Amino acid sequence: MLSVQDLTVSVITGKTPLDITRNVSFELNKGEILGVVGESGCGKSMTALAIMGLLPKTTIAVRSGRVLLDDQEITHLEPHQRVDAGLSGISMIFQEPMTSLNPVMQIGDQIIEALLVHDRGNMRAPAARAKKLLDLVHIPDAAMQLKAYPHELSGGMRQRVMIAIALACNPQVLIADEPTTALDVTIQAEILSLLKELCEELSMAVLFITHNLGVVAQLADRVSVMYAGQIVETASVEVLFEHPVHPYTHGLFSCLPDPTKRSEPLQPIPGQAPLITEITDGCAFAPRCKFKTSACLSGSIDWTGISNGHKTRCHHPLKEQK
Amino acid sequence: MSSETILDVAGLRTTFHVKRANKKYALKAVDNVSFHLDKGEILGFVGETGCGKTTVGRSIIKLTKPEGGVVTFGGNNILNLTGRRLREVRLKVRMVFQDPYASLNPRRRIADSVAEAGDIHKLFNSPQDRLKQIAETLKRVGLDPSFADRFPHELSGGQRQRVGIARALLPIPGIIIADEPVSALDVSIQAQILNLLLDLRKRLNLAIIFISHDLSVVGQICDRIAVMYLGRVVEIGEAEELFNRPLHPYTQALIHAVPKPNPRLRIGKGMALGEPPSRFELKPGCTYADRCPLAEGVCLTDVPEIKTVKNAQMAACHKL
Ligand SMILES: Nc1ncnc2c1ncn2[C@@H]1O[C@H](COP(=O)(O)OP(=O)(O)OP(=O)(O)O)[C@@H](O)[C@H]1O
Ligand SMILES: Nc1ncnc2c1ncn2[C@@H]1O[C@H](COP(=O)(O)OP(=O)(O)OP(=O)(O)O)[C@@H](O)[C@H]1O
Ligand SMILES: [Mg+2]
Ligand SMILES: [Mg+2]
Repeated sequence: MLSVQDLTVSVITGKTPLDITRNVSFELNKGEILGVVGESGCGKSMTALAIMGLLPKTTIAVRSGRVLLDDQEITHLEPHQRVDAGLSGISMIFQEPMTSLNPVMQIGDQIIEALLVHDRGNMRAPAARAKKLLDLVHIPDAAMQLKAYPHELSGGMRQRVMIAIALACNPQVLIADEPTTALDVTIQAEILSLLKELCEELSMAVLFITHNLGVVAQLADRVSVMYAGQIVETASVEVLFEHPVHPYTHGLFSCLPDPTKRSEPLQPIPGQAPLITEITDGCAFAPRCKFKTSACLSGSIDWTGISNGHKTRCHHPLKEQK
Repeated sequence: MSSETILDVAGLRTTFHVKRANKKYALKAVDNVSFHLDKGEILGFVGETGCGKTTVGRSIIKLTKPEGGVVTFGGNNILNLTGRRLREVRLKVRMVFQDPYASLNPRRRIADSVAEAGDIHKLFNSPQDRLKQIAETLKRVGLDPSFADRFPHELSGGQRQRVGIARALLPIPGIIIADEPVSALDVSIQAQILNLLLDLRKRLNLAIIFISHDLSVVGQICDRIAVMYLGRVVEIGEAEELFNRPLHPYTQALIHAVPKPNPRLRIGKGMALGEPPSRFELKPGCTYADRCPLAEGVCLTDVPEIKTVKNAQMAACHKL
């Protein structure tokens, strides 16, 4: 359904391009949920924007690689060209609601606008459909809140308005960038089961970007872990949680907060991730890795297969169980 | 830990007057909220989205104007202060905003946003001193000092969130009201920020109001937790007790719904709370009655007062 091949996204304002992501590849099948986790700043949102054709073209661009939707290349098509070509089946829930909601427009009108783009102007009872979408994402007083401006809503309500807008046009592929950070756990659970239903019933495919490993465990079929612009490990969700093999993935699991161990200090992974200007040959995680050898410091690190569907970019994948 | 109270909030009420379909409604976002915060204490606020957590935080320092209540800090009622004296309080009680993108000026460099409070109050000795303090503060939150020259749109979501935290730490205040400060951070950087806050509290007796939806984080670092539902505090108590033995049926539902980081323990369906009640036309009785499995009789007619149930744990429920 969605195929991303060797995607390299770069900042192009300087003399030499600086790569934000390097050779990101993955396949997303019909009805499937792929979870993406990774370090803050590793290029998850930029990958998502590149797939959507929404990169700020003058500063950041796709330098190489391709994005295919149903076998048709869409990498360099502008959003309006995609609509014209009938390839507009991808929607996105943006990480920060206020970046994409219009502050001076009532939310009902913003939802209707999204519906109109999809239905090319002719649509019956737009207000009723907008209200139904707000009901779908459990916003109380939906009929009245259609008239609310974004600043009159709480963080979690704004986030659900974004989800409603993304679902307005029945997407084939949904890219959800941290869609539940402002939701309490009970509403989060309802939104997650709504997404699951849409995947099962309408074969929608979801790329779900999140830092919440609990959410990944609850929702995803497969998981990819990103570090410094690259995918470093991919596996089915069961396998990844039981037997993570990349030292970075392993490090993530060891710093999960645990209220039953209040007295023990949290254990962040020592060191910092490299800036995109600092990335050199070899494994980007090597400076922080206790298993590194001289082989890790040069060349590019290729994929090592661990088991069926489980692979990692690491010369020394961990063997023991977590 | 000292048991000296640094902030006392009594009967805080904040109402938004909104117009919908030609009718005026008074939306009680914060309805009679009381609590205290001790020096060096971390008090967590959790609760349903839209229940009023952000409004409590903003009301305390009058970023949103409350309708009633008393907020005692340093011998004064903050709600009576204006002008210079209010600005001085806001230097000592700082807020980390929930939506980092909306709270950073897109046309200002990160350095200027981080130094804003220091600039307003003329706290830097020299331009060099200013740059040094900006760099140190950025490093504290795990950002390379080179970020100082960037604009907000050149950062990732989690990097912007850390700028939001850095802004509240220059200079280091007495109280931080942190509204979802780690929601966009990976668990390793999250652990680093939580350790930073714990360290500041230990060394400088910093007190923190920590608003978050992530109950594992709240359970890990907070001393006490307040649970809000529809504008009211429905339970408040020691973190460990509240986590292990929640009293209020809403707290129980919340803790049950925490997603476990284990794909073999999926919650699945059937835990939905049911339709959320209207914010605009509140029914009489307990606001949670509509969704509560225990609700009957008195729950539908009388609002339950918050009362001490055991030791230091308080809850607002007729059934306790
Ligand atoms: N205009 C720019 N100039 C230089 N660097 C940039 C620019 N825009 C983005 N970056 C960098 O690109 C990297 C990738 O950003 P991206 O938003 O994709 O991260 P992310 O994985 O979504 O992180 P988060 O989890 O924090 O949201 C970041 O390190 C960011 O600082
Ligand atoms: N400026 C405003 N005008 C009108 N109503 C508002 C305004 N700000 C907030 N509200 C309403 O007040 C209520 C409480 O909002 P608040 O932002 O405090 O919730 P919250 O607990 O922080 O939620 P979240 O967890 O989703 O961030 C909501 O019903 C919201 O719609
Ligand atoms: Mg992002
Ligand atoms: Mg809020």
